[in-house]
Amino acid sequence: MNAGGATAVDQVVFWVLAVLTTFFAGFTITRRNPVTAVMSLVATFFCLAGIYASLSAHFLAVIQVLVYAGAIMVLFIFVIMILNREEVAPFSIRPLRVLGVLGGVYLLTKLVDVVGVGLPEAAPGVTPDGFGTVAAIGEVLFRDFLFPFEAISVLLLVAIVGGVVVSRSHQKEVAAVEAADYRHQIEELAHHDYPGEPEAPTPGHH
Amino acid sequence: MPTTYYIVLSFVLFLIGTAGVLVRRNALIALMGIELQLNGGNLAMLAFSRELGDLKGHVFAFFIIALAAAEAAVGLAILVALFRGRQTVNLDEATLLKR
Amino acid sequence: MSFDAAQLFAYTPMLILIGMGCLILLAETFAQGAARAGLAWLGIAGCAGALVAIVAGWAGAAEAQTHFQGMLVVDRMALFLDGAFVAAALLTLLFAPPYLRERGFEFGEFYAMVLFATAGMVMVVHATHLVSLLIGIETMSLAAYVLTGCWRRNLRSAEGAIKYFLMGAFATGFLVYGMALVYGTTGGELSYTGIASKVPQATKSPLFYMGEYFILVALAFKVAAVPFHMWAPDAYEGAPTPVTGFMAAGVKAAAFGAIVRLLGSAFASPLLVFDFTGWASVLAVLAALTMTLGNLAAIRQDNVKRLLAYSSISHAGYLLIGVVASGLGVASAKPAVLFYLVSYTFTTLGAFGVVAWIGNRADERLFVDDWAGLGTKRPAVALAMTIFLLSLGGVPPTGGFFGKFYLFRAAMESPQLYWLVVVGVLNSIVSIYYYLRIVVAMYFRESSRALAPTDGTSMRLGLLLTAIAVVLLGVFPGTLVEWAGSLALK
Repeated sequence: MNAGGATAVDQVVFWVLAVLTTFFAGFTITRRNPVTAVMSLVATFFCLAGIYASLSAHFLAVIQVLVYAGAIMVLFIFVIMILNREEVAPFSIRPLRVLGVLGGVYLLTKLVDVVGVGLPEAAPGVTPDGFGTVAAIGEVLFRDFLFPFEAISVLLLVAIVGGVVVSRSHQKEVAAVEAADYRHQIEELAHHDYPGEPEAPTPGHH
Repeated sequence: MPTTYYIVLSFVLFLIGTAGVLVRRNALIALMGIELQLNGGNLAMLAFSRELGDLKGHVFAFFIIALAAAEAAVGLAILVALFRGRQTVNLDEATLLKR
Repeated sequence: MSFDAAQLFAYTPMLILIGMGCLILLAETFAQGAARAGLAWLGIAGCAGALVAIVAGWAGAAEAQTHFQGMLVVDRMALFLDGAFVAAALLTLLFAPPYLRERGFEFGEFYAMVLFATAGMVMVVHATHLVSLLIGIETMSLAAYVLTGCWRRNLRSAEGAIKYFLMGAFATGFLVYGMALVYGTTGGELSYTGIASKVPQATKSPLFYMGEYFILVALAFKVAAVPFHMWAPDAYEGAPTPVTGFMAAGVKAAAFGAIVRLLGSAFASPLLVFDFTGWASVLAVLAALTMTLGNLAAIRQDNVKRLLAYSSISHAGYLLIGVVASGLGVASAKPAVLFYLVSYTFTTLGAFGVVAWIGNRADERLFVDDWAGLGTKRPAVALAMTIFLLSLGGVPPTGGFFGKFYLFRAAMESPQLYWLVVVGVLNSIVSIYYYLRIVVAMYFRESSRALAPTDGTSMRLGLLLTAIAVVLLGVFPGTLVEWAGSLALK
């Protein structure tokens, strides 16, 4: 592979961002502490926003920062604050899963070999005027993609209502019933022999 | 930069995300792995989009971001519900449903 | 081209479902106590309205019409499956209220979620564009995750939901990445017809195959085909039982609808179907694995809910035989798949309906032993369950028998699939063994334990309707096959 056509600045920017993205992504999934993980996820998203900008996707770069690094990350942080707890054994090495990952790495080496097939080696020429701007994207979005744009509102409604349904705290009068319910289920759990599970955790135990 | 480089990077991201879901048992980190997968897809979309000079890829990426937000909201809500009952988000400890 | 609002009329069933879902959400705020029961009837009314709209649109859908710049299509296959989804939603809304009330988590959002999930399914089978497919699948799946986890006091429900969610979202990652690769290698095509037209040039790049298979892997997750099935037993067991029936029937049928449409148009090129690496061979292997492993796991189960979950995995295997046959050019395969989907939908809903019926809050009665003596205590319910189990096993005169019959007959038309038919028939025979175990427990064993079922008028009505539907499909299969056949010619 050669980087024909790209200026030196382009190359430096790409390589710096690419290395940082990969590093932070790898950092994310290897951290034991979820707060560190989520912080490096934010860093990954910022680097990606830079890469999007280098692809002339300026609008998407902004959205990436706003939605991902902003909204989604805040959501993550909130949840981590609720249930922050360090783990004893963060990794679960199971033969089949590791095989899956190794298969992916093999695919990656293959990909590096063959990815050029059917794709030009050189950087694409000058992009059309206004490529990636809000106006240009809006044009496509509201002309060709109006139906999905409308339909995704149903998806978002489901997500909002669903999030509340699943996680909203229960009313006080129900709380007592619930405590009994949990105790009942956990006792039941303790009576079963589950292989590989030393003892059933009890509520309130941190 | 040629599109090829971006595609390889996108696949690396996708793979790191996949590994995160498969190997990590903390459901929160698995969820972050899924976000990485989606971002890998987005990067590939945008790289191809520039290659082809076609904005459909940008719009697609726009939808993916909205979808990722929705997915994260529901996923985190389920996590909170699980945590409330079991005081854990570790998937290996969640074994009420027997194998 | 601009957005033509008149085109929306073609999607009245979907609009009714979404509108009624929103109405339930609004009404929920004001409904107190007993009025909550009315919310389910609102949902049922919505489903009935959608059914009427589907029937009304049937005549006009003889010719396929695409709308919204190629995003969606209205044709008879889509309307046929719409009917199945809406029927599934309607039956779920009949089974759910007594179940929810007994267990103390009846709330209006539940019914709204069922309707939104159904709207998502409708979108999935109408989609002719990867973007609308993705949004449909996600709407359906997110609602299904929420429904699985909505029994907040039950730890199994949350656990099933998190497993379902993680695997489902994982599959979405594959779907998105696969779509990106297909987009890039076809020169910027996202619509099915566009992709199909660019296949010859796209196949020059291995990335296209990778994209194609990533998309198929994601859909295989959704139908719970082996080896992408590991989430299914846990999710099915953890979910509230009426939801399990809805997931096993509706979500699976929608994913199959998407597979049939995608493989029948976007990836229909002979370049992609045949050969060792073509999807026909890959799916044939998956079909054999899915049937066999699903059945083997089901044999060992004592928990009826889990047994039915594994059995629903094996049914995905039978359906894949039909998908492969239609890829190999057998014209009668597509109607056979559609007929099977409808009979499977009713049968599964009915079977899970009985599972929802039999238990109560304190005693779920999920094990085969708990079903002893049902035949003498409640002969009507035992009869209904027997009908459903026989239909699942493919014994005449039930819908399940003709479903398998048409499917295997279609596959026999292609000599390459003889082996698969043999595997399928052997598996059906094996499956009868574990279905009969429940029947034997119900009729030939006695139990002194008192029965305190959840019961409820709407539940009885639902069981009656499903039992009648399953028997009718077995006695007069011809009518439905004609409907299904009339759309295969297009």
